[in-house]
Amino acid sequence: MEKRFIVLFVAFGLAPNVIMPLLSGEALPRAYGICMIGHARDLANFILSELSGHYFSHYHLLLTTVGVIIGASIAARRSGGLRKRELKLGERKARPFIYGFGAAISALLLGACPIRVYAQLGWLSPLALIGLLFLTLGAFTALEGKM
Amino acid sequence: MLLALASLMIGVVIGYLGQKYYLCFISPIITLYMRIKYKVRTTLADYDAFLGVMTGAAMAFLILLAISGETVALSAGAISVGDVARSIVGGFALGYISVKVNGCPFRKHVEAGEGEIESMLFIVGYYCGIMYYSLVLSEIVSYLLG
Repeated sequence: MEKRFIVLFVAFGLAPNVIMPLLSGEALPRAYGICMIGHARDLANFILSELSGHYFSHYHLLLTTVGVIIGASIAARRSGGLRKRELKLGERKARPFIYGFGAAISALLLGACPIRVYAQLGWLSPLALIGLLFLTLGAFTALEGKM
Repeated sequence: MLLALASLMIGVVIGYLGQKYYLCFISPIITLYMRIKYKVRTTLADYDAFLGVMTGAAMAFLILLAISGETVALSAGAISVGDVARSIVGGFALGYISVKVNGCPFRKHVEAGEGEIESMLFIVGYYCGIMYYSLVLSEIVSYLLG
């Protein structure tokens, strides 16, 4: 079996989906081990709640997304893959920002990032199947425009 | 606090692995497209991002079932028309954008950690999008779709 598959199986599928619900001590949403939108929303809404004094929907303070950036940075430093590039004058700075903005809103509508969609399929969620189908259709549509 | 620390540790580990193995979770879909459209020969290993997470989560599901049925909310619950509509709109848009920016949200976080400026801008937009949704859109979406 390939090492990469084992990494994905253990680190992205098995371990977080066992550890997170057991540590939470209460019911978390299904297959909530890793979700790049759910955990990001929990972090953002925790901060919003603290700053405003009003409650914005979140389960716990989750720092997964911060950890991903730190972990990737460590790996890049170790492998020499760290990219140091300044944006040149005239480069389109707004486009990645707008795509990020749109990606967050669409992922919040879907209620999952692709990792969680795959994990939910492992938890036999019919809604995840619909999500995957339209994730695929959206990607195919964009690819048709690209190719 | 324990969960915050655990999630941070999990994040560091998967971020490290994501950079090391160049992981992207929209890539299995792109591979499928290449296979259908251009008859590119693929193997199961090309879909490992999908298969690995799905089978790992299924194993987690079985373990949690064996440990306790009460610790985790396992029941699917009723699926409303609104849930389906959200999945259709959100799924389509997320798939479209992920291809446009050459990576899923996880990949963009990893690239931001690598120091890629465009991915950092993506991440700034991403968190602004989350806050905008929480402050403005969530009530409208709930009103429209339940």
